[in-house]
Amino acid sequence: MLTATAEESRAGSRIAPLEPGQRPRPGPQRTSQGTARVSDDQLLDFVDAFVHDTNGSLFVAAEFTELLAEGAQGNLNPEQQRLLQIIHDRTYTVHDILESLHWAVKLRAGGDHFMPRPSSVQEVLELTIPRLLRRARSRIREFRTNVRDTPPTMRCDPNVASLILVNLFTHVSYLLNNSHTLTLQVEPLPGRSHNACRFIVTSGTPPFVRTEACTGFNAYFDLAATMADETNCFTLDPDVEEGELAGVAIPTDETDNAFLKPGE
Amino acid sequence: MKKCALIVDDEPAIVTGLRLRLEAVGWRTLTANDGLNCLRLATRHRPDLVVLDVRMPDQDGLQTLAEIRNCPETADIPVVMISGSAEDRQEALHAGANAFLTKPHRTHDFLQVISDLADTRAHRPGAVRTVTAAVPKT
Repeated sequence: MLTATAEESRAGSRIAPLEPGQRPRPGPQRTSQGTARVSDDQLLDFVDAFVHDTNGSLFVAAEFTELLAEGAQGNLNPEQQRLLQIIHDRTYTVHDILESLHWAVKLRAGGDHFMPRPSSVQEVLELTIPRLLRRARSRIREFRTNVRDTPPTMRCDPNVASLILVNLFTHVSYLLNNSHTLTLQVEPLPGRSHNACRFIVTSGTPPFVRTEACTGFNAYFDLAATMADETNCFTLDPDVEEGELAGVAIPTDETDNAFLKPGE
Repeated sequence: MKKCALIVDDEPAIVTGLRLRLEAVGWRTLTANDGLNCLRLATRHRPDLVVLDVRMPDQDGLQTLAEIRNCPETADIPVVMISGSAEDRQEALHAGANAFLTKPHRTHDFLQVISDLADTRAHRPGAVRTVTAAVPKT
């Protein structure tokens, strides 16, 4: 039987106690109601360390399951191989969730940067669909994409655009009662001061009023403060029709608003 | 002759994972659990590649990288920096890393970066690629 050394079993942590002489960080403040409260920056510091440390453990889980599967080829029955594959895949699901959490807290603290570059709808979808299916596979019976007449290139931060879409659509999927067929439709959005693509999720039967999803998502990310149209980056699509679940518009042209700062 | 990689991380399990992965594809490995040992081994053995964690206690990966680049014996060794936080990417590349990978990363991405750098014994900061999105193999 294999045993891990004590050192290998130890998960490293950067959330270390303060060294002598080190200036302590300001602790949680008390609100007027007497409850404790930390600032957005303190929360971001903590979440950054938490995400970093957890990703280290996820790396170990993913790498070791992969090495075990490779080393045991021929000695595992199909069911055992499937279980190892599930463990391996789930590590990346947790990683995706952590990235979303990290991103949401960064956005909240005004520390997120867009890094716009020439990209394409295809690239955004290639980042989005695997993440979305890992997050919401059990609630989506079938997922289709329908891309129509979109420009061949678009200037955006594909990673951030993907995080927006995955979080929005995962949120939407939580509101579905049963597994549904969802279609992600991408099309040019005419009639705006800038060129934009609409990313819209539709379902065969509207299971709920679409504003529920948008309202929930707005509250989750405090989007009203951070993603008003004047950021010129992307926004929840206000023109989503009945029967469509939720949508996001992403501009395809040059933007100088590459930095988000809530409240400004 | 086998290529030699120096793996540097303060977490022993991560060192083990990287070591087994590299040895499985024919590399010889050296390991260190902090920046000081990294510099000592890099100077003595002049590995073909350093895989260096960004966040380590005492001397972190960025300081270690700066010393690798400042030392004539080690300045041209390709360095792949790894971190559990994508936040470290810009600093790592700015400090002179040849590539940056987040943990967990796809094995394919890691091996591709290693392969790209294997014959590149030249200081070309950020010249290879950066990978920050992790997606499991399908």
